[in-house]
This record gives sequence, structure tokens and C-alpha cells, in this order.
Amino acid sequence: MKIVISGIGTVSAAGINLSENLDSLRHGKRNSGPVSVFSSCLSYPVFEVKYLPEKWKIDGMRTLSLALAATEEALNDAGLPKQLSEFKAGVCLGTTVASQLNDMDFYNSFRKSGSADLKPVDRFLRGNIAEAVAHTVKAIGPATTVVNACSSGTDAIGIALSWLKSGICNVAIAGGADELNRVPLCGFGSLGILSNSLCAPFDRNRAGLNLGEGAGILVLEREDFYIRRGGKPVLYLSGYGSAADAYHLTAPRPDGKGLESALRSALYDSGISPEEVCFVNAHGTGTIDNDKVEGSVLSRVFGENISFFSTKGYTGHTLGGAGGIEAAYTAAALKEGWIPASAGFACRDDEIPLTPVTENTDIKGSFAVSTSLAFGGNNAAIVIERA
Amino acid sequence: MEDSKEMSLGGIRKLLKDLLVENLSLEDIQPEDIKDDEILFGDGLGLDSLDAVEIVVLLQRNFGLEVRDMKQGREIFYSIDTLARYVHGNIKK
Repeated sequence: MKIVISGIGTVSAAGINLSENLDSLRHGKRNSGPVSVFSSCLSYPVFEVKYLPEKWKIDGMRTLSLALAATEEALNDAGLPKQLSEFKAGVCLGTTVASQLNDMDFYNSFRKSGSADLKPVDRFLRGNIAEAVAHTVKAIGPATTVVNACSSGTDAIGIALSWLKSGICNVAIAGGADELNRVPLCGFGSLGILSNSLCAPFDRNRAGLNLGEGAGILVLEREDFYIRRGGKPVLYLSGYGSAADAYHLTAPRPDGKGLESALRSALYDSGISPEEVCFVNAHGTGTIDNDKVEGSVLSRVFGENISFFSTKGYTGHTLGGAGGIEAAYTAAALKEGWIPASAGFACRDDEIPLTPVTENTDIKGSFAVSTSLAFGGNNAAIVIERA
Repeated sequence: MEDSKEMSLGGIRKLLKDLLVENLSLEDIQPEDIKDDEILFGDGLGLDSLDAVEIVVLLQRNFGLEVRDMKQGREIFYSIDTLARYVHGNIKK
């Protein structure tokens, strides 16, 4: 049973919907700036969502707001109603922050006086994003929130794929979302991997990542169900692979065996060989370690001539949102027949056997891959197919 | 005087039943089906520890009340009636 990608929705610093996002990619727009969604003395450049529709603004729950905005766009794109109670619909979303790290005031107050406004507790209880989205769209199938650090979004998409293939639902809302938040900003800063300038994935002089926020959502459907309701498939989610490094909390395995295993697994799941892949949307955070390992693995699996790029130069690293946003971009690029320049790249690093595309490039082909590598050593890859 | 105090207590019981059904997503129960002496946890409504947190939150949000002493909390949270009496006796005007 093939699984159709029937709808795409995405919100990031690059735009409030997919069309605006693609426009930013096409024109090389990098909408970064200093942190403004919360007060901070840190001056790292970040990629914030500039505009959220009023209807989705929920105080203190920005991750959920982003997820709902992108979900609305994706459902609309799929031609599905806003309420899915008549379908067997599942929701599988990845996140790291959820809406559950906006509680510093609570702790401050509680430590000082033993008492605090309980709104953060309320938000915590309502902040499970898969549950909250399922409740909003009345999806009555399976609902799971995946918290696998930077591969959460890709893993959520892979889990939804397995649900649909097994038939426990006919439709699934899958992807990821994360808001820009003080905790990861300080945490990543402490790890010494935030760049003080715009990130430069795969570049010789890359100096770390920029954090971002956003949501990327795919609507996935069993092909028989989609055709029965009048759809004409254009894009498919054809495979998923995942493998753990079992190596280190924050650094990838130097030999890249975890990522290689995940990639080969995804290709096998799709029933294709590496030669059939026309481009790879890499994780490409702009850190020394990630780009070196990922570049080497891509070369090993696909050969040195594979077209690849990172879009984190346009969105920042959106953590749990990355897998969802990058799946959205990969699907759209495959459908439209072009891939964007890898923003931030200028000079080849001799330790990386290949270089990303440096200008917008037309592509022909039926298959594309998106990769995600996570803290904790999880590696995930999906394969998207064009009909 | 006694009558108006009782009505007010009755009003609080009804409000609490509405709030519990709504906030705890008690889907198969209507507020009017909940008895005044219904036990909240265990064999009565069958609420759990997460529901207990929700009740603490809704007491603060709707009545401005804070339950600080957990031993006292056990007595207050025993039934609809004990909860209503606590709210009625402590509600901030």
C-alpha cells in the first residue's frame, strides 16, 4: 500500500505558509535577527517566526500555535475538512520544547514564597502537542508526541507511515514543531555550538548553528483512501529508516555508521537504490562535527556527485520542527523540480568529500531523501517519491 | 440566612460538577449525574493524580484558592460535598 502526501503546511522564519517559505528559499532571503520573543542578554542570531495568525495565538504555548497554523494549511492543501471525526485520523508530531518550558516564573515565585500562579501548570497539562492538535481537529485515531531531540519530526513522520501501512488509521497529520525558547538557547550556548554569525552548513569556516522556530506538517493518506475520495496522487512518502549511534550524548559517531544504517534502511524500505535519489536535503546544522560526519556519509552512500543542500541557513535549526519543515521542503522541491542553494556555503572544507549546491538548481527525478541527526545519537531518514 | 447559605453551597456544588466535567474531560458523564456525596477518587468518579493537579489549578483559576497543606488536601478532595464546603468557606469575595 503506497502512502500519499496529500497536504503540506509550514511556518518558519522563511514564511507563514509554504509558498512564502519557498519564495524565501528561491530568493536567498535569510530572515534572522536578535532574540525578540523573550528577553535575553544573549546576542546570537536566531530565526524567529515573524507573524502568527491571531486565531492560533495561545499565550505561553507558542509551539502549539505554530503546529496548529501549519496543520490548518496542510489540511486545506489536502482538501480535508477542519474536523476529522468522520475519518480514522492519527496525529504524530515531534517536538523538543513542546509548550512546556515556559515555567521559569512559576519556579521563581514558588521558591520565593511557596506559592505561584498555576497557569504554567495548566499549560503543561494541555501542552502535549499531538494530543492538543488531535483535540482541535477531532482526530480520533492514534496520537503520539515524539521527543527524540533533533530527529523528532522525521521520526514522527516515519511512525505515522507505519500506522498508515498497518491500517490503524487512513489519514495522519505528521511532522514537528518547536518554538524559540530560553532553555535550549542557553543550553546550546553552554555547549559552545551556537554561532555568533549566520550559520554556514558544510563550509570550511562554519562556526556552529543558529536556533530557529517553526512547524512543518504533512498530511499522509493511504492511497486507496485518497483515491476513493477523489484525489490524484502526486507525491508519496515511500520510506523511512532510523538507527542509533550508541556513542555520545551530543556528538555524532565519527564513522557515521548510525546515519549510514538509517539511510540504507530508508532506501531499502522504499525499494530503491542510492543511484535513484536525485537530491538529499541534509540535516546540515553548520556545526563542525555534524557536517563533517554527515558529508562523509552522504558521499559514501550516494557518491560524490549527489546534489545536496541544507535549508537551515533559511530557517535556523528548528529542533523538533526541523524534520517536519525539511520534509515539507523536500516534497515541494521534488514536485516543483528545483532545489535551493545551500545558504551560507562559500568555501569547500577539504575534510568533507563533497560540496552542496551553490545556486538554485533544476532537478529531474523521482526520489529525494531528507536526513536528521539528533543529540543522543538518533539518525533518521525519509524518502519521498514523485509520481 | 441558613437557606441562602445552603443555596449558595448548592450553587457551588453545581458549579464544581460543571467545572470537573469540563476541565477533566469526563466524557461519559453529565454534571447532573454526579451525586452530591460522590467520592472523587478511587471507586467514585475514579479520578487520578493528574486530575488532582487539574483540580488544584481550577480552584485557583475560578475561586482564587490555594491548597497548600496536602494532608488538608486529602480531606478537602474527598467528595463533591467536602470540596464544595471548602470552597464555600474560603472563597475570596
